[in-house]
Amino acid sequence: MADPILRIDDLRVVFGSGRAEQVAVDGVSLTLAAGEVLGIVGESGCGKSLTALSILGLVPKPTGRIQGGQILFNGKDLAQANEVEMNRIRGKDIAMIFQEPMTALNPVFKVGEQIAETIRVHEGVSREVARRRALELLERVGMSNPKQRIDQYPHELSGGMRQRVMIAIALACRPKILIADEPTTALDVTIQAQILALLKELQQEFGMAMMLITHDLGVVAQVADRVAVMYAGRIVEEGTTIEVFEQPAHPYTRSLLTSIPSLDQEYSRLQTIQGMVPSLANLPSGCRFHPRCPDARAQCAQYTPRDMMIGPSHRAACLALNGYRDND
Amino acid sequence: MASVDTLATPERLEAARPPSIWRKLLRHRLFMTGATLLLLMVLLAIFADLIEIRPPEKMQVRLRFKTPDFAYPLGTDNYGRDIYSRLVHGSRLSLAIGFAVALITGILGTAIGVAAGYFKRLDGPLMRLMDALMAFPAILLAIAIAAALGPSAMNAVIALAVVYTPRTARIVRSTVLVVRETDYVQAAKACGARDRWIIWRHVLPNSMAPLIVQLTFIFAYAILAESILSFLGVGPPPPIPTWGNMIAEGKDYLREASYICFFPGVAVALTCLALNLLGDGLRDVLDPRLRVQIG
Amino acid sequence: MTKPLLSVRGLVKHFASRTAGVFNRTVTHVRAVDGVDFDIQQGETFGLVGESGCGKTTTGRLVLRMIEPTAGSIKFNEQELLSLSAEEMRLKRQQMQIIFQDPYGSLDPRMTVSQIVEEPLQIHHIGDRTTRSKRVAELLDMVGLRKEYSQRYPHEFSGGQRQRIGIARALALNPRFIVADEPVSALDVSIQAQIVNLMMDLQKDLGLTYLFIAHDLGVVKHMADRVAVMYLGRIVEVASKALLYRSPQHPYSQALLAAVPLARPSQRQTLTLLKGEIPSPSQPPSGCHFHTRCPQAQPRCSQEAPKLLEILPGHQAACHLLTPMKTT
Repeated sequence: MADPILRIDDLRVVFGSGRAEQVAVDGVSLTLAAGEVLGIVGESGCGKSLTALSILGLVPKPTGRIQGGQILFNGKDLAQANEVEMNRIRGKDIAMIFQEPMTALNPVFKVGEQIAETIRVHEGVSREVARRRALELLERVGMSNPKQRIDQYPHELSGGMRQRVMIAIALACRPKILIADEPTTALDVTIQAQILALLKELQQEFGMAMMLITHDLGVVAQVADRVAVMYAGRIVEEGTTIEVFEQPAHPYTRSLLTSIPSLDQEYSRLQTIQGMVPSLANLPSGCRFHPRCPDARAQCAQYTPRDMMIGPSHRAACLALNGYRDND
Repeated sequence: MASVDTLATPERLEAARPPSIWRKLLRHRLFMTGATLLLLMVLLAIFADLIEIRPPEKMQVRLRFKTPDFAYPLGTDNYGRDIYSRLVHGSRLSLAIGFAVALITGILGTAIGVAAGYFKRLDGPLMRLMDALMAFPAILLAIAIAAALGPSAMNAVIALAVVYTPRTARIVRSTVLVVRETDYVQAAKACGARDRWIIWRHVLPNSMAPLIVQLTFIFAYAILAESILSFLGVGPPPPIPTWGNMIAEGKDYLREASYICFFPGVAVALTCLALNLLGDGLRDVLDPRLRVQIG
Repeated sequence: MTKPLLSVRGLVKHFASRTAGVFNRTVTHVRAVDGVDFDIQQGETFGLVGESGCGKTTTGRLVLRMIEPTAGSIKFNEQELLSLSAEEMRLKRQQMQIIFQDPYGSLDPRMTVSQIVEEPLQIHHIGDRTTRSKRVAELLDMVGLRKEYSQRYPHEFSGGQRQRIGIARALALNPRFIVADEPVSALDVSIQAQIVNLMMDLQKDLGLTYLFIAHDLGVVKHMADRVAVMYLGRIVEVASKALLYRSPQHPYSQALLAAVPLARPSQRQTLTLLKGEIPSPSQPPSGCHFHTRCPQAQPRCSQEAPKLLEILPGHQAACHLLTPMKTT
């Protein structure tokens, strides 16, 4: 496999301190190859957004902080980098788009100015050049009437259009990695389809690697090359999209896949996962999923499952794969 | 009976109940400081008769302008009255005025705020009236009303209530506007609840928190304002002491006997501080509760 | 054929919003619901789907007369609701209830669970304290919540549990008809399945009729018997679940269904995307509202609004390109 462009090793992100410390991301390891789309799926509270924010040093301070692990990009450990170094990387080498374009865009500036700002900050070009580039970008992201829209304010645009603006800002400096945190969750389904197609197109044209974070398995299935499934701060399964969806090894992945009512299947009753996602203050011992797992046994509460390779690129963390023995 | 899979693990809550409001308040250091201080003042007022050394109105002209010593812990004023006893006794009226203003403002402000916030048709006229009152600088309006009505404790309360009610009404109104649009109010409407029910059961309880915080500050403003009114001669008249009129009477002697003004001034400042700390603590504890939980 | 439980004809709701100019005040009319007809049979689940601005939520509120319609007729159990006095309507409300989307805003944070569930009974002076608390216990049991938690406050529960409380409240008065306004949209996938199953069980046990409003086509497919698709204030298609999902007739329904990403990575969809944005309900396109984005638009479509007509037995659509069934 080609050299990964980004490599996260044993990342640990915590909130609070002392007795009130809560571990939100607990030993997450991922690699992202150049030009590939990695999907990170999980339900709320699993730590997927926080993992993404950690890459760009955006973990909400002072309560949150990276406690351990490395984030290796371009020979540098981003977890140790200072603000000056991170500012050079943000928007230029690694860019991010968020779920709520309305809160991510500044309501008092025209959208054209916001796109141009990124260009001017990183490349130091003149206002006119930046504005021309902003116009080109708006055209590239499929904005209708770009000459008119470039001077409009965020509140004058619809959700889909705002998301296009965010994509334009993110791509302004041709980053090597694009992190998309639930980019289409707040959009209508037909607009979502447009944005996803646009992202895929741009990703291929620019040769970017993309990290797509979402809770929507359908989106991941259609867009991602590889996928990692997270639960309660840990990765429970990772592999190519086809491997994970067609041969899910972890009980959580399997339950998740069967509990979505899909368009092309009939169920008389939806499969449910009993119980609910544990809060960070009350994480179960051993395997985090064991209280809800249909295949759980006594050992699951005692030992933390470690990654087992099931295929050449497919891994899952479940004791069942090892005969319920702790692999030592 | 719900089917098996919905009850497979009976829905379990967080292991420990989150602490109640009272517990959080007791843990809040600033709040406790303010509360203790205020309690001290209130006890002073309640037990004034027992703590005072001699009658507050007793004039002993030969003992005028005594500096603080053992017999007269805070000295005597220009009429030879014991400042300590006057201070202790004066807390009654000062605190009573502050409390009365806060109470009346609370009731009136809530009534007007709820009416304006809940009933769209009343909003315009009521708020214009409130705006008109707020157009006057607070203290000037209070002075004008108190002067027109005559110097007395009751009139001071009326004047201050008129001044502070619009501000309170505004705060209540904005909360009511938000509560009115919530889904739980819509749910009550969908059940056929009448306006009276909704206001009493849903709107009022959910609008109280900002109001209570505001009222502690109004209590403090009122005490301060009373002292200003007395200073200007339109507050409760002597010989019954209030902290304000003690300062008023002592103002002519600031050079020679500054302690006549100083001690009641400190009393006012401490009480206001206590109330502000109380209010800040309440706001810290009550406000986050009202914020949307992040799931 | 049995008479429908709910019969809506020509339902219209226009919201007037005033924008004050410097010298004049222009009134813009938002045509949230622009002439809607449908019937709901006793015991069925009628799904209402559509994207932002389609008017589905407004329709749900109108049907319960939580908002006053601008025009139209709503017949519940043969009785015209719009001709009822306020007091008569109050009593009628016992038979028609609502479940809200937001589990965090739909419960009064200052009331305990038992107070919340008991409130509808108190409003209508049903029973005394003992009978009411028995009923509350019964309702909590029905929705799968432990009785011991009845003195707790909403903020102590998870999203899924709060939704159960909301359902218990909706059932308190023993209604025949419930409007479920996106009841699972705000929940995690694994919890959605629990609540969907719960609602279906309750429907079977209590003989409920649902108007199920949602934007998630998968969930609607699972729950609904018949489905109506709305676009910009109008119904464009109504059919049984099987017919709609297998052979949608209206171009919008087709695009909508095609846009949903399937969790099937080996079947990457090549989406024929709808162009353009969803128009604003304050400035709907002329004639057929959909013509600006319709891949098959004809000149007639921009001039004349198509009527909702029967295309096949039990299958209605509003499109000029479809030939209606001949009624002999």
